[in-house]
Amino acid sequence: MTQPLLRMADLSVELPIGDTKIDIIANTNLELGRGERLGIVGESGSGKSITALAVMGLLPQKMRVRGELIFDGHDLAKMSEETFCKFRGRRMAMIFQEPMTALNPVKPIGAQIAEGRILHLGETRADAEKRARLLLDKVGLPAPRFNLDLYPHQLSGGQRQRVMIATAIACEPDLLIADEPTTALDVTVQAQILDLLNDLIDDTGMTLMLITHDLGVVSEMTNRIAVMYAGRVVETGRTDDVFARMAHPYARGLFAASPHGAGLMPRPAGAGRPRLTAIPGVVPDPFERPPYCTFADRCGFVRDDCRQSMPALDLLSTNEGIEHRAACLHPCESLVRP
Amino acid sequence: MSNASNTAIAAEPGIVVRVLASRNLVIGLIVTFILIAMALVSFVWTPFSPTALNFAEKLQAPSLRHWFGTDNFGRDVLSMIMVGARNSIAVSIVAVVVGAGIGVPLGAVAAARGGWIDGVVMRMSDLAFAFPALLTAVIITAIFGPGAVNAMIAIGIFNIPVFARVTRGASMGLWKREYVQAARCAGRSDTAITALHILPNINHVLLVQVTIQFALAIVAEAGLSYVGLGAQPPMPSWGKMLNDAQTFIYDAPWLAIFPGLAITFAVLGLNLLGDGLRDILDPKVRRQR
Amino acid sequence: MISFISGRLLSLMVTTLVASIVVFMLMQVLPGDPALIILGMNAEPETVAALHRQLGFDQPMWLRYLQWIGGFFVGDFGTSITYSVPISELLGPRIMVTVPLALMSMLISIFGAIVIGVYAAANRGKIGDTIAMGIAQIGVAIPNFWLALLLILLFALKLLWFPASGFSGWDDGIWNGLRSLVLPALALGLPLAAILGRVTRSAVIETLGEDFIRTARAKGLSRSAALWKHAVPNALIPVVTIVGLQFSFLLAGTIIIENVFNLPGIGRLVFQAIAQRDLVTVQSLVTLLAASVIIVNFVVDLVYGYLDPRLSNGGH
Repeated sequence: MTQPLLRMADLSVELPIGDTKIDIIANTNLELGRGERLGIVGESGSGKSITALAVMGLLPQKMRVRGELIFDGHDLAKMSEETFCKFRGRRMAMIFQEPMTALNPVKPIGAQIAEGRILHLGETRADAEKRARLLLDKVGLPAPRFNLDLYPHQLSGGQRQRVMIATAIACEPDLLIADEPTTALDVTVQAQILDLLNDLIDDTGMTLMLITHDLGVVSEMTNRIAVMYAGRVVETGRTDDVFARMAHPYARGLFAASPHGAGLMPRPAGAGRPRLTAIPGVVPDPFERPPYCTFADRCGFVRDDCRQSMPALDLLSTNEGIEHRAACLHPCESLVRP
Repeated sequence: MSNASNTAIAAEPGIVVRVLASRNLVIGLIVTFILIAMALVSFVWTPFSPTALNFAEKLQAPSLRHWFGTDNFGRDVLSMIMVGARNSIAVSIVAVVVGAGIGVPLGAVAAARGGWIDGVVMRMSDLAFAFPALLTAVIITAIFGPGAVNAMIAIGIFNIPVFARVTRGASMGLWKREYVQAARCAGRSDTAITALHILPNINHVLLVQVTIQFALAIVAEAGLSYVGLGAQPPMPSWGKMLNDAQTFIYDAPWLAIFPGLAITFAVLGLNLLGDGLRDILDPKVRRQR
Repeated sequence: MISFISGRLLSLMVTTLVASIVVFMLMQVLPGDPALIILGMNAEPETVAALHRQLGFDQPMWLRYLQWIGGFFVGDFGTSITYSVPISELLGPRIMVTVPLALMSMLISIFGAIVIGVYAAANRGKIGDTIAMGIAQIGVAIPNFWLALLLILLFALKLLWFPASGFSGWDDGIWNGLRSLVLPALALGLPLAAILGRVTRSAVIETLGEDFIRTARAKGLSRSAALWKHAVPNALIPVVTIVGLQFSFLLAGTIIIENVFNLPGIGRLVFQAIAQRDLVTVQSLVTLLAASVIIVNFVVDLVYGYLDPRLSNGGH
């Protein structure tokens, strides 16, 4: 197998507080091959956005990365800020959740799209703006209605997110990180934006890291999935495999709590529409994570040995060369869906 | 994003902020206390008489006998500064009371009634801001004659629109709150609601503004007496002392230094007090810092 | 954009007109008869009455107001009682002192504020921030006339770099004229820079926390490029508003500072006119000063509209 585009080896993100340090992300191992589409799912506070920001080198100033973060042979964790600036926007790009605030309100959209090309590719303003015009067409904002000299406030949320996408793909990056790209949008617009992303990725062969809590979006957009809980990956594998088995009880709980996932859960005949089941309790505070399985205290299947040690991300099966792993001592065996 | 980590991130500067905030407050309180103490002590004791002339000791540089030196009449500068503090404080207190006494009710009415009353109050304050405040004060004192009392009134007048604006701005949002609406539905009068619900909720904003205007009043008083329109001789005032000092600036620079230091010290203390109060009282500022 | 400007322009004219009425009324209720001041307390009643007629005091108030304000539109601001010359003649040479002084002070204020405010914001929480804000805190507290004395002590008396007072005029070279204005402009501008610097710092800090700064960084902009290209242009919006408000302070400051430095400017003229009860002069000058404050704030509004596209062209 060729070298993966991105490899996290024992990656942790630590936050010093007073004399102690806490791990926001703890010992994560994750690989992302070229052209792969990886979905990262989990509740708020599970560390999925921090993972993305760590890859982009845009963590809040006090946070530090520990471990390896290899991007195309370069260790981002040890990279100087100056070199990192040459990667950001050029080799890897990110789309954020809030299109309303993610664009600079006092600059025309054309200049904001062109900025990256001027910076990384040394294009003149005129050339870069010509390119920005093409990019706007590509994301479905055609001239003359959508000119380069429009300001963000003149666009709707969905249109702004299209501008954000144009900005992100301006330099044809290898890796596109999309952090909840549709969460802030109307339902009808969500589907359009996802279709756009789908087409763009198919066209360019970009690698996608999609962060979301929406299981419906993951199942449509990705071929591999990583479920995160309390700063750790608890289950990973082919999207279909994970959806079929949900080996980690947390994954099962997460699925049962989501409208999309609950539809996949087995239910007795004639029971009608399934109820959404909330997982009892909340994600433990990074300060109070136990030294054993972090989900044990909320787990419906908990046994005594669950409170003995931290379960490793063990291999369950391999399908089409992609491993299915779960960090659970007693992974659920039964298939949710055959 | 992760909620838990967010609270963790916010928690750390929170402590720093509070230390910083209390530092502002502590220094501000100490300086303000020294200022007031100096003025009060001057009623019963000063090192020398602030008014008695003593030509044998004129224009002496700072020494152990005269800490801040003496002026061209041989008066002790420290004693004059102590008595001058009285003047500064008295003028500023009256100016702030006049400004707040008229401005706060105006602003409260504007916020309570809205409509044309609000429009009139706001246009009037717009208009007041078009006249350079000190110019207005100079005109007023020139018209009614120079002196401490007229200086108080003059400075007080340009405090009115400031308090009106701050009161209106702070109480505007409160009138839309549910509990105020509920009180209104219960048939309470606007006056009662203002007294019971509005003013208690904006008093921290007003308190901060009082310290700011107090500091500005001290500068304004010094400015007026510098151009000869404030307190009249033989009553010492900091601004007048600086004006007198200008003649002797080459021979006796200390005359120009100590009264100015006194003004700066007083204003700095009051500003720190205001900042400190804002830091601990206004949750919005606390979050931003 | 057009309706934005015309709306502002209309309110500008109304405010100026109301301001002139206020000034006029104020001057009418003044105690002290200007005729007696000119002629002396022991003047004969007939002479006083004659002068009253000459000054137009026998006409109804509204007519006098109209005559006075009407003159403004043709550059006639009335005749000074003490100098017996048209006020416009008094203004000419004095504007050449006060306007350059005000401009220099404003430039000092804006540049000083941006340097200190952006520096402090970029180094937020570090020692540089603490020092910069400490200096600003002291700068806010220093009254400009005392700063003027300190500047004279240091730069005029000790170092002999600049003249301690007076104005040599623009005739023997621009540099000589500017030299006499440097210290007064510093005395006026530095305390304003301190106030504005604090505003700039908090505006920049607030903008640095915005999502679009993260977007800019994600594009590959370095920290300082994101600061200057994205944060500062946004932070300037609130800063510009304060600049407009400061102009009024600045004009008031010229009254005192021109006295300290013995500069023959508008501020000194106003002050002397007040002291000499030259009512017509006071009335016209104060109206002109108020008008200039209103106009500057109008210009600030235009700059505001330019800086913030959300104001000048409507959304969809």
